Amino acid sequence: MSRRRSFKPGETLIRLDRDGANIDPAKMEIATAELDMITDVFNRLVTSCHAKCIAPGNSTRYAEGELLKGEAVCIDRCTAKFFAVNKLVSERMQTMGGTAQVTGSFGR
Amino acid sequence: MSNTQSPVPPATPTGSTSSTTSTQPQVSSKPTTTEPLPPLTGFRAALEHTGLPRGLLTWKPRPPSRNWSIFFTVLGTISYLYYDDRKQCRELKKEYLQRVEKFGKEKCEGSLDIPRKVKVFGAKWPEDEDEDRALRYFRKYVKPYLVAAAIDYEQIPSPLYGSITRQAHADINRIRRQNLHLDPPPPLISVPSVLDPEAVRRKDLEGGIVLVGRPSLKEYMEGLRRGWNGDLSPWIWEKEVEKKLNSDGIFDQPSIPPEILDTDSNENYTNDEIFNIPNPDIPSVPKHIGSDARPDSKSSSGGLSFLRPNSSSLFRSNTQTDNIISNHLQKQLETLPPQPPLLLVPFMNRKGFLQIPWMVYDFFTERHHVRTGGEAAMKLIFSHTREFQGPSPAFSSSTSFTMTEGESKNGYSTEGENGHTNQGEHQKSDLDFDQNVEKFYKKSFDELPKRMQKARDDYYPGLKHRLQLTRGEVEPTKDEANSKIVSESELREERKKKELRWMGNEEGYEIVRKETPVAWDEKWRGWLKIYDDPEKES
Repeated sequence: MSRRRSFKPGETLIRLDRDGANIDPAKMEIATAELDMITDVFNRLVTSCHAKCIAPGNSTRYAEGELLKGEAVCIDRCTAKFFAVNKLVSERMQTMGGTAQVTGSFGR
Repeated sequence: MSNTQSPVPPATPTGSTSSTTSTQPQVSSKPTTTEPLPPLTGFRAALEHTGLPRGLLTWKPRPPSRNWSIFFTVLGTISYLYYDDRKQCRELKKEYLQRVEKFGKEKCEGSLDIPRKVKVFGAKWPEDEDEDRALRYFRKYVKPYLVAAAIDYEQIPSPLYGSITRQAHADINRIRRQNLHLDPPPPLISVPSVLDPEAVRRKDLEGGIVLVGRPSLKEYMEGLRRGWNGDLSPWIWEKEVEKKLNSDGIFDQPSIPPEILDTDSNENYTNDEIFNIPNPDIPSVPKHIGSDARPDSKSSSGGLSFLRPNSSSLFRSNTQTDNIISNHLQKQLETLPPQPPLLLVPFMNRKGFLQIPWMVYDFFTERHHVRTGGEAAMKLIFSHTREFQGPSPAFSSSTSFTMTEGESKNGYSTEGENGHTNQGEHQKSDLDFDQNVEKFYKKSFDELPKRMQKARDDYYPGLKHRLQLTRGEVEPTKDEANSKIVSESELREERKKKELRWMGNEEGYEIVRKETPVAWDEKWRGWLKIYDDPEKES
């Protein structure tokens, strides 16, 4: 008999794995947080590349159901750029975080 | 009303002001009053009493004065030239885009369809500090059509003179070694979008190599020559330079023992690796060429110990055997594999004060650039290829592939010792591509080796002094003690970086300067391909 509950995102729960032992709730927390982050990044990526490549200028005109080659190339480039920017920004945040720890504030 | 005023004498022109009439000899009977004005006619009469000034109602247009005419002519001409040129640019661009839009609107076969990809090389122009000019030209004039046609591109930066040569050399060296199983192939990741090497090679061939400007062509051909005619030992430029620097003796100290030539790895190296190259066991060395990040440790896989700069002298003693083996292999196994076709984009970078008139001309004739860029993009997109034309055979038999000094007029250096009239039988060679740009190189480019040498002369004395400081051989002054303390390895790093730049520039100078012809090898006849329009074929 299976319990059915609606799971809200971010909700921690203690579940039994196959062996019946408890999973460490802290690890579950971390895993859930990471999954949330990944999902968030993915959603942003999809929205922004869709806005730039498939529906430029926010037009909602879909001439073809299939993905066109031009759009595919645009999406390739968009995702590459997105990840590059993501990486740069996170590196910057890390350094800023480092200096913030030392100086005690997020400043320039 | 007008009836009360007497008519103006006919001598005076109509519309003259009352002041002028008063200076003329008085004809009317009223000497103290101004002359009556002519009556207004037509609609002006109706407007006379509306309060509008008379001057406005009787205004007649006049041609502008001489000065204003000149001004308006000049201004109008210049504005019109600019406007018309940009209008033509827009129309040209639109026309080219319309021709290729259909390629971009094709459907993908699946969401993981890999588009056609080209590599773009834009060499640093002589005496231009900005190395991005050629690539910017590409981005402005060629890229829009590639984007419309759904062709992906990869721009490869070239920060120094000769960067393209070194990159091409390294790539070819790697490919050759992989083809001959001297190196393990790169590991395959089993992810859906990653292609197997065969498919990668096919995609490369479908793609193409775009060379923007004549320096790029020169550098690339030189890279091809070095890659295919060089020996098969692994070649990484930074390592080569490091070898040279380490044997330079600048950082040597009497106390430090000579560089660690491990006797164990020597033995491993001499006997097995060279003579068993066809042995399939050798590629099982786990280390990949690029990952030799442990220069000082003993390499457990002895086969790659020659990568370490320390064993350079040992390696040199074995190059003879290596060359024998490599030539043997070359004859047996190596045929020139197909290369992706080239696209040559003419590009001229105007540098220098005396070229300012040309720059002004370019400003008003951007349509020529749009046309060149568009034509080049069309050639690439419609992918019609033809054979790369080398120099005429009569010439090339006399000079083989050595780089000759001296003026080269048409890619054929006029060393016609054979007494052949080369000019008589010259066919158009692709090596002459864009030759006219070379006469526009700045004269100061010829002084580049001197400048590099001067930079070295300025740097090394300071380096010696700082080295002595680090080693404690010399007492630091107060300022030096307060300033940041650098370690010897940092000094080495700094020296290496500087030397990489200087040596790279000098090497590239030798390749790019106008006296050097484009590298060519007779073996390449019929090998390379070039994108061109179908109509141009005779």
